[in-house]
Amino acid sequence: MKAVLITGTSIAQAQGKEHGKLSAKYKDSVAVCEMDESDMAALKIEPGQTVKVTSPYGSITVKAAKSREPRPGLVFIPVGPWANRLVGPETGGTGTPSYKGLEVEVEPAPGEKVPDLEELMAEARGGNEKW
Amino acid sequence: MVVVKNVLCSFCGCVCDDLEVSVEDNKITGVKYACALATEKFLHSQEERNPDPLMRADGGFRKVGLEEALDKAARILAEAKYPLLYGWSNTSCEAIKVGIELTEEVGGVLDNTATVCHGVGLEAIQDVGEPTGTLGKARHRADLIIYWGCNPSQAHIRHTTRYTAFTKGLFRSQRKDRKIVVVDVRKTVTSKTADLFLQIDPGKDYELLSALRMAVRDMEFETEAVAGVPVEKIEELAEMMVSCEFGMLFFGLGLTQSSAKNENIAAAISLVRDLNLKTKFLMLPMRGHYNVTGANKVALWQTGYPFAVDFSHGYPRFNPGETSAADLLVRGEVDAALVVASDPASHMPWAAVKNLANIPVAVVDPTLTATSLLADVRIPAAFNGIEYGGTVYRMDGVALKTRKFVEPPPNCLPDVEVLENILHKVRSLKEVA
Amino acid sequence: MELLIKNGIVFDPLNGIDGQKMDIAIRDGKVVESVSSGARVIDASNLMVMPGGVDLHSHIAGSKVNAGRLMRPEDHFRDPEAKTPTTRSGVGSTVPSVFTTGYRYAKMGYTTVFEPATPMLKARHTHDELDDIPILDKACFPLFGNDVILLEYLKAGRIEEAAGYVAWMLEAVKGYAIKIVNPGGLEAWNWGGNVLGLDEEVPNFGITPREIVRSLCKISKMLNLPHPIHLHPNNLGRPGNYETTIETMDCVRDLAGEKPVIHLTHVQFEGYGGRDWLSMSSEGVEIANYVNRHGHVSIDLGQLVFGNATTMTADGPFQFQLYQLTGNKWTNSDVEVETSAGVVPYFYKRSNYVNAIQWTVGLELALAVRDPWRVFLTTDHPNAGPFTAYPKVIAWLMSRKARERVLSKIPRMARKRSNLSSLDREYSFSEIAVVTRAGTARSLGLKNKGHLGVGADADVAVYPLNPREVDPSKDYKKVRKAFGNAVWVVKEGQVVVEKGEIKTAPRGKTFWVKPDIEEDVLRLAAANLKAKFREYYTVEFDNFIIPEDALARPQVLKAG
Repeated sequence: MKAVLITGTSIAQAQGKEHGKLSAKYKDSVAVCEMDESDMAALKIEPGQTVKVTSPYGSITVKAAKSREPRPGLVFIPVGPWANRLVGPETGGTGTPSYKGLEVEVEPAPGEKVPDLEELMAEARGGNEKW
Repeated sequence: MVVVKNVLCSFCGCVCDDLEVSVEDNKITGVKYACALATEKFLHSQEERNPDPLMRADGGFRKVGLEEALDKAARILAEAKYPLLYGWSNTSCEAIKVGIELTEEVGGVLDNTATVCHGVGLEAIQDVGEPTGTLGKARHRADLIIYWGCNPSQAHIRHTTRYTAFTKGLFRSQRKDRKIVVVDVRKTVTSKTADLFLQIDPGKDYELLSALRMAVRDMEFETEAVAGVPVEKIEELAEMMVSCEFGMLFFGLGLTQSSAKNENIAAAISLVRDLNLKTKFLMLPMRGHYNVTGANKVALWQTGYPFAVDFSHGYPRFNPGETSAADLLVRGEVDAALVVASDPASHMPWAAVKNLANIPVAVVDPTLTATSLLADVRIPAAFNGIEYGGTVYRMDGVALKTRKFVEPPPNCLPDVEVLENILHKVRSLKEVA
Repeated sequence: MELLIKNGIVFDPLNGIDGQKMDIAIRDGKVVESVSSGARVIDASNLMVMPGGVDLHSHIAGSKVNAGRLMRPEDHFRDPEAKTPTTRSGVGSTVPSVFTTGYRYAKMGYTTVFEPATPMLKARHTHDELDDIPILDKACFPLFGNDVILLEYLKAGRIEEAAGYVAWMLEAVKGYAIKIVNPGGLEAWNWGGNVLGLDEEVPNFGITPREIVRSLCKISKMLNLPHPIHLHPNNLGRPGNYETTIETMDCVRDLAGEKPVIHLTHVQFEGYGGRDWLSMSSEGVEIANYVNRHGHVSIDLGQLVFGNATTMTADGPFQFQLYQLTGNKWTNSDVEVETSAGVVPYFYKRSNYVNAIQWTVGLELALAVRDPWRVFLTTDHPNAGPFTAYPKVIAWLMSRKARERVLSKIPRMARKRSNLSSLDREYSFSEIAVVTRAGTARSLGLKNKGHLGVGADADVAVYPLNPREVDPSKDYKKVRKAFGNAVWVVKEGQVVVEKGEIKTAPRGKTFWVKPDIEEDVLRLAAANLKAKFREYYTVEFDNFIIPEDALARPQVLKAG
């Protein structure tokens, strides 16, 4: 399904980070894709199931969630290391990357794992170093 | 048990200063008057806190002494040709001042997190100026409040009860004395309580702002909708704007981070400027971190520029796109980084994170962050506003001073002291060289 | 540490020294009778020596100055300052960064500079910046002329309580004097309006600018403040405004005392005749005539300098008008129950007859006011020009020839609408010392500044010019050059400028005034305010107060 991605802050994300970036609460609060109910129905997915979101800049597996602030065709991923796999690096001379309004593809990804923060950071380092 | 009154909140740009914190045996046991976000911060500030200085060692990290960690951080900076010193929005102005001096000393780039949030708004002000005012203006005078691309019910939770819709001011005493308008791509909790809600298509803010400027000037539309908003609603909002006695526009990242970015803000400023020919109208960005405004202010008065300040020529230079953190990281131009009180690995695009991961990085932060997982050295610090006191600037530029009410864990110095220490060590290293 | 400035040609008007060759002995930051033979000697033979300069009106720090910095990257780009072993980097031009501000003032021999417009709620910001300005001693003037709480006291006729309130505020925000900007007009600006005369009622408050000015003048006297009310009157920047200016001075005539009771600031912007921009003329001489006849008034110039400027005042409606007039970028910044502010960049053109007339107004004032102790040199930095233009202004004051060079190039219409070409007066070095240090120090009530008598602060400037050989009337370029770059500058006994370069940059003091008021009256004012503080402000009473230790180097001055 094609959708427009908005990334941003949310209460859960803001609270989650105060528990520590390495906490399960943080991951649960930001490694999610909040969607309109009708879009979830079209994709035949339930809250908590994994979806793969792909932008022109990368893709990431996160859990689907029902949006409390819905709009059909719009998906929301809270700011964080997961959302940033999708964000556009171009700033257009402003310094600010494109965090909002990205065109993405959302597809069900049954059985795929949502990576941990440690795994994402190890991947960034290009190795498998463990914390 | 001690109850500390009039505590400043070091969470968001509202910097509420009426909190009451209970402390027992150096432990925060309760917080009164705080919002859900601040409560979480205060109650968890002492938990899940790794207070150890850490250095990268084979396959992971090892615990080291503070002195060794400080030495390492200083060496990273002293040996770099073009380091990035990034963060600064979640710490005190006193720490920011040392950060600027340190950046100047090593000829690097100082950038604060505004660079990826409201920095484009500052760029717009450089182009066209800005009619603004303090939050109390909205409380006392405004009969029209507009929230555009921001969601105070999620991010600035007490904004409406302290400063806008639900406050008692000198000339407006209750909710019905004011009209509240929300412009957003989604129906939000804030929009549900608004008098008027304009649901706009993603990335079309510039178009809608331009249409509003037309409507304010009584120009005719030859279309039925702009940016997904019916013309009747645009005209309704324009009429509300022109006929109010005192309007105030609050805008958030929905405006700064979507398609036209700085041009969105310039268009919003131009709209507000036009409105001042007909009535009184001000605007204010909904700044996120509690001292991101201070990070911009201090950089401005010490260097002339609010963020993205490059000292590689010996004097301050500013050119976003060239000297801004995201661009420097994405292009791989910086060869080391000091990250203070922020988490670029969580908030920068992946291309930037990958390059950050592959240069020497020192992190100074009270908690373990995603960036600390990439770091070569991690130095713990005390929390400003909890474990030490410092100056912070509210989103409207009102300066306040936080206070210390609990002791930090051992090894956790205020970051201002950590930075002074690093600066001292960098100078010694440079003298030797 | 001891220091001896030897054989300089000294101008110290407060001690009646007018170009005598003498030594200045310094110990522990003060001027003393004599020093031991071990003292460091500065050979000032045939060089001009004056007390450190004292500027009583220059926008160097705080919220609106920083708003100006934000708005003017194009201004910073053309004037960067690189880091040196003794100095921090920065930017200059019209809205310099803090370090550059300190260095450039010091290089001109100035050691004390006052920031003249601070909203109380943002005073902490002002002090934050003042702390960061190296070398100089500083202070700030809080803005009272449109303060809602004060207006309410005045509306209710409770002047005693108003005085208690002002006293509490001055102490709470560590301010120095009462500043008034466009009294009543800024309150009207909250609704997009203005007040255009001394007797026009302020909307919602039922009082007039005249009552505001008179009341604050009385309060300033009641509290025995060292500096009189510092006033930017109504109608600033409008043709025909000289009448309002004279009326404003006259409205406190009956309150006259031994010293001036009202200081009108940047009067250049307030001395215009005519009905509109087309018929505008200079009325500097008219205002000077009033000042000459009335000892209760002092003024400063706000002298215009052609070129680049950044206008910034608390006068929101004026700045809005200037924005409409120029179409330049515009910032407005209102502060809840206190004041407004505005910033608009401006370029003064010699070929523009309005700007040219403005240029003549300031000089008319300076030359036609006979008593130099009541007229002071300012450019209202950075409004009518940057402070770095002071040497140029000094040259105009000292040399008719220097003025005529400009007069010959301005539009004929401007020449005709001004009396400047008929004014022959040329300032002496001693008079320059009065209008740039001795007079300003006296007006501010700084007893240890502006002179070099025993006990004075050892703030000294040595300029590269032999006043016995140079005729300033002819060699005005030499004068300009000398005042632009002192050879030596001493601050509190420390050599801060040597051979024209910054040698070291110690931290200066920030003065604040403790008003002369009985403690129980002050306590009552505090209690009254605390009870209703939340009705007005969006911060808590306790967090509003700036304790003395929030300032890096506070210096209290007890009024009375």
